[in-house]
Amino acid sequence: MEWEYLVKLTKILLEGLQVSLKIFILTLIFSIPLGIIVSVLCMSKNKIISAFTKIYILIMRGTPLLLQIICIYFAPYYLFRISYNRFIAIIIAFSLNYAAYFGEIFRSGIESIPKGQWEAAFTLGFSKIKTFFIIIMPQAIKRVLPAISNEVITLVRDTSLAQVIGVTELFSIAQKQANFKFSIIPLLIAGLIYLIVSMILTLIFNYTEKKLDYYRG
Amino acid sequence: MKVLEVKEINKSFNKKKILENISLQVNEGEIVSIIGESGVGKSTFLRCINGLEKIDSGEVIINNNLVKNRISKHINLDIGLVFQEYNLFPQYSVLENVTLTLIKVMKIKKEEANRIAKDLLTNMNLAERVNAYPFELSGGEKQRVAIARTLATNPKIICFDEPTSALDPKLVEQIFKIIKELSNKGKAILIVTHDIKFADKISDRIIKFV
Ligand SMILES: Nc1ncnc2c1ncn2[C@@H]1O[C@H](COP(=O)(O)OP(=O)(O)OP(=O)(O)O)[C@@H](O)[C@H]1O
Ligand SMILES: [Mg+2]
Repeated sequence: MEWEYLVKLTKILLEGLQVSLKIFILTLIFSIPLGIIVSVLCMSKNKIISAFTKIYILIMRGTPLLLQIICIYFAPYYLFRISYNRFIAIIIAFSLNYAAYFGEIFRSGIESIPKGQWEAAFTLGFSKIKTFFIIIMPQAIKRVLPAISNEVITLVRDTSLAQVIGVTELFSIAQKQANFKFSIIPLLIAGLIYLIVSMILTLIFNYTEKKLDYYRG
Repeated sequence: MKVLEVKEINKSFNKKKILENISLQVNEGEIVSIIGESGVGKSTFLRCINGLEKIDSGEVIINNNLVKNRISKHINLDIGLVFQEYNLFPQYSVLENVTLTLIKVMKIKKEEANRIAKDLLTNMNLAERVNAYPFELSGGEKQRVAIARTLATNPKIICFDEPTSALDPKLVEQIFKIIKELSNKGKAILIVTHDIKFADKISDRIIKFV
């Protein structure tokens, strides 16, 4: 395989990476705030709300993401004969799925914060919302950062599932090139790209964890 | 002038009566201690008047404001509680633990909040520790930060739950002076304690829960 082809191949793969990264970033942008909402709903004193949220989490974690993507893309078609943008379907499916995982992680973090923190804030006149965002959430995030980092790195690899409804991303391009050239090289390069992205994320998370090490508790 | 008036409050947990028709008044500048055996409901009483537990019946009047169901923010600022475990906010520095309330609750500008907080902390003998974090403090220092934090809202009444339980004799002397000084400045003080000697020495009045 000549050098020229390798350069061209890498270029094509990096274009695919852009799509994968778009999925990755948009999913995080939507699923993290959604995850906070899920965690709050899950802890709701209203039994109906918390039960519904728990069922949602169960479905999202208990069925393959692949199936969820297919359902979210094709269900509107089967039900109403409506088809819509595949990329949007992917973002919806990923965000809903990851919101469930993030929701569970945030919930465990929030519940691990001693009740005394809520009570101290209350006696100082903080509203519940202020207490949540100013006092509780920062401590919870520190505690769950390793779990969050796991999910985020899993998401990098999961973006390759987007090809199941025909979204052209890094891995699908690599596969096409591999078939085309009867070579495993495109797949190996794709693997290397995933690895590099994961390494960068690991470094960012390690750095953030260190930054939050300035206090204990 | 009375700043705290409790009228016949009742409180049960799971049908078990903990507080039964408790009434009490505390005046400006007065130090009142509550003593009693473990489990009689001393802490529960403090939690009730600070709005951390709902009362089943009775009235709590704080600075002439009747607390009905839930303590409102502005009434809440008139009464402060120094917890037995202090409950400082670990991710914030000593200074921030005090300024946070000033800035986020009382809407005071940051520079002004810093000035007020530094004054309060200096009074608590903590001028050198303003940039430390709670995990770096000794128990006595934590307690004094908790007091400064409570004072930030300029409450009329300050409640202490077991203020001497974790302190050595020298620090007990120090907290004694601090509480006396607060009462000299007109604060009404309500102390819950096991320490009968301390209660005897510091209080204008002692109430025994049975
Ligand atoms: N949230 C709660 N739910 C159920 N029971 C409770 C709750 N809080 C306190 N109790 C019970 O109420 C009783 C009084 O508790 P409280 O902490 O007020 O006692 P105390 O007088 O402060 O005791 P100590 O001197 O040991 O601190 C105890 O029997 C306790 O188990
Ligand atoms: Mg107690």
